[in-house]
Amino acid sequence: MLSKRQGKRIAQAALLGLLAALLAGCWNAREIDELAFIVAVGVDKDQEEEGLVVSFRIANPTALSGGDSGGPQGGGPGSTETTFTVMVKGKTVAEAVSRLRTQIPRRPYFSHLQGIIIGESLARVGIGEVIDYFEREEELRRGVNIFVTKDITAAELFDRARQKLITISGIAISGLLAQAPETGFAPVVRLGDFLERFTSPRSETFAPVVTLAPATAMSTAAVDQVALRGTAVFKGDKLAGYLDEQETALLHLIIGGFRWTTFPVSGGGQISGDVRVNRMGGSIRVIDPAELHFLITIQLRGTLKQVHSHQSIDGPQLVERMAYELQRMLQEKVVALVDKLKTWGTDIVGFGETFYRSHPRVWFQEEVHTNWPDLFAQSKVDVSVDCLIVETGSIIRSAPFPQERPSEPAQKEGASP
Amino acid sequence: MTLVGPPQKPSSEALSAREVTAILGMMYSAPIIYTPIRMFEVASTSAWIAGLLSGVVGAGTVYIWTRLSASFPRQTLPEFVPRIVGPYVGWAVNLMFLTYFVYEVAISTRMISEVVLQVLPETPIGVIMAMSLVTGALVTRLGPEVLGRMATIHLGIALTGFLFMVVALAPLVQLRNFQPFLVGGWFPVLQATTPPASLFSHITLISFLLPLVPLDPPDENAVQTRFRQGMKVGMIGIGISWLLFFLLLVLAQGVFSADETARLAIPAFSLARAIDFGVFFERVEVSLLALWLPAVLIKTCTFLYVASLTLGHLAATPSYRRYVLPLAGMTLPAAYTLASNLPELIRLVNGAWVIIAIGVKVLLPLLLLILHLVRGRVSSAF
Repeated sequence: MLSKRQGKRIAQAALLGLLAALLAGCWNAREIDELAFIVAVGVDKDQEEEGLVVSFRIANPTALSGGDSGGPQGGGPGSTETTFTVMVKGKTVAEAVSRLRTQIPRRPYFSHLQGIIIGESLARVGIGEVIDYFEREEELRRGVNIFVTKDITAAELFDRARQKLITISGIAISGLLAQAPETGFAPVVRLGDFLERFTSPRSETFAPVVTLAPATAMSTAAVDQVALRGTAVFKGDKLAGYLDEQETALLHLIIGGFRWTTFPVSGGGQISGDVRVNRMGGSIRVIDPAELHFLITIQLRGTLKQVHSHQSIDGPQLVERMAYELQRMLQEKVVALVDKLKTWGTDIVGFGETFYRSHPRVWFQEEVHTNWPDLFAQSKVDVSVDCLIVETGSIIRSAPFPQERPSEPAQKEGASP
Repeated sequence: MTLVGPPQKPSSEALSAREVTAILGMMYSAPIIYTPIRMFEVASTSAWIAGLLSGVVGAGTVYIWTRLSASFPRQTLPEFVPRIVGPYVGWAVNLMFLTYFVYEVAISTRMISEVVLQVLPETPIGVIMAMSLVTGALVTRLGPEVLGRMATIHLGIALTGFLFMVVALAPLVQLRNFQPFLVGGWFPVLQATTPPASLFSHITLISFLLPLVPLDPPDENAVQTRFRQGMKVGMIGIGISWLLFFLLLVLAQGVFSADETARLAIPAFSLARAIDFGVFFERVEVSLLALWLPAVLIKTCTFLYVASLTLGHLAATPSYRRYVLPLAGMTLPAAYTLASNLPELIRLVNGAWVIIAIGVKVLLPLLLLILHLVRGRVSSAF
């Protein structure tokens, strides 16, 4: 016969055992071998019927665990390919994700998503509802990168990409983005940054452009290498247009977000070269709120990367002249960029945000905010660039170019070369 | 009919002043979850000013409650209320406090469930609520000294964790997100001050916890000693809670901007998800739960304790422990039916509940204090 104390101890032990069973977290248990790790999602407008075509790039754990990442990618699972693609049609992204579960034997898992790729056709008609899905999804993080395609669909990109340097995703988007700040030719835009601009009534959003390019210059080369190519600019939730790589570099000069970018410089027929710059500072200021007059200031520090030709000047004079010509050229090009954005009526630079922060009462009282795209198109923007070239690389003077070398004594007639 | 119960302070339930401070320091758990949403909706980029002001209001509430509690240095709230307003009205006032405490437990339980659901979205909400209530009830039955020890240990962990969070998120803070301020004048800022101020009025608990701190030595100036002790404990405890809340508010505004934060379901959780050290140290949102869950559990247990104590007093019974489990059981349906969905819960916590909390925890004690002072003056005049 158990004593009262012993009975109590047994009851306590049973209760502890019961509670321990609850620690397994039954409802949310997700065994790793039951998950399908989605590494990239592409969303296109369905060209045949109303709805979307959603492409899922899914990790192939067999290939990953075997450490065998060689060979071409993009085929079916069960081989050595690190990822494979599944395309699903649906009226919405939510429906497509549900349909995906009927096509793969594992539960789709978005926690390791590297990129969301929006097809050009969808971007042109509006991405609001697609973005809403991704923003609500609990497994997704705001650090996921977002892209827009150009000249191809996201599905084509997934299907045709055969990256030479193998990456986990098979489409190299993370690796390419890691390089982007050192070229300035494509912006790095995470979902959180995209949403911050997307939801702001005072600015418009943008995303890097991703497309396919040939690996070599041969005309017969397959167009199968994923490449970043400038910026997709939105007006509201619709694609307004694209900025090329040089324009994207100029955009970076204004808003920051890059480490280095390189500009070709030439002037007066005397100098020609390439200067790599990094941004030391800069701002956008309102000069006159009544006239909507803005001033963009940019401070740059440069390194002379290459001299194409020089006729009469060299050394410090060459460097100073390069800096002067670069300043002049950048001022003109930044003004041209802003004019282009004005024609599209899309303020991705943040003039409205600057105006709101510096003159909030004018922004509200005069109802500037309701007509901002139109007012932005009428605004006056001045640009001031201050560039200092401080490095010349491993040399301080170029070797004499062939045309500048002293002429050789004439060779004797009949002498063999 | 006996309306005033016997004193209920067994010697084993004694707390040190440090433990009371630590328990009050756990009150950051309530405002960091949904309060910033309302603050950014109303005051937009001026929300950080409202956050600063809420600290001032919190200090004022500390003064009211400490002054009131110190007037009865060895008695808890349900004991001294009848002494101020008489036995019958006192019983009714205590019933009002009891109802408030029970709903406070229900709201805390619901908050725990909603936050845990962010990590375990497929777990039925009722299960999370039941588990947190059972745990809370078991802890509460062990007495306030256990809560005091838990709070003392957790306070150090929470402060270290928040320091880490500040360091990790500081590079993401954009100073331009704090401008412009006071665009709409002071009214929106004052309006935005009310939700956090109502939550910092959890200093109510001092009227239950301070009498558990032994007066050393038992002096004749017990009222003065208790007042000094209460102000020190209250200011430091609520000050810690306010500081942690303010840090989180500023981080949310700096990292996400006012417009974005107003759209987030749980800004604190989104902040934790934003932590990313060189794509190496990330996915640490579960650590936020480790900082937050013990704090909110201690807060829930403390309110369950004061609710049980008040019920025991109303029923004129010598122990509160027998009421803990039934009260926890009653709270479960209340927590479940408070709101049918998350937006409704956020609206409740930042709307009607703010008005009720200010009424019960600021205006009512202020009225009691005024009555007590007036009665003291009148009786001393004669």
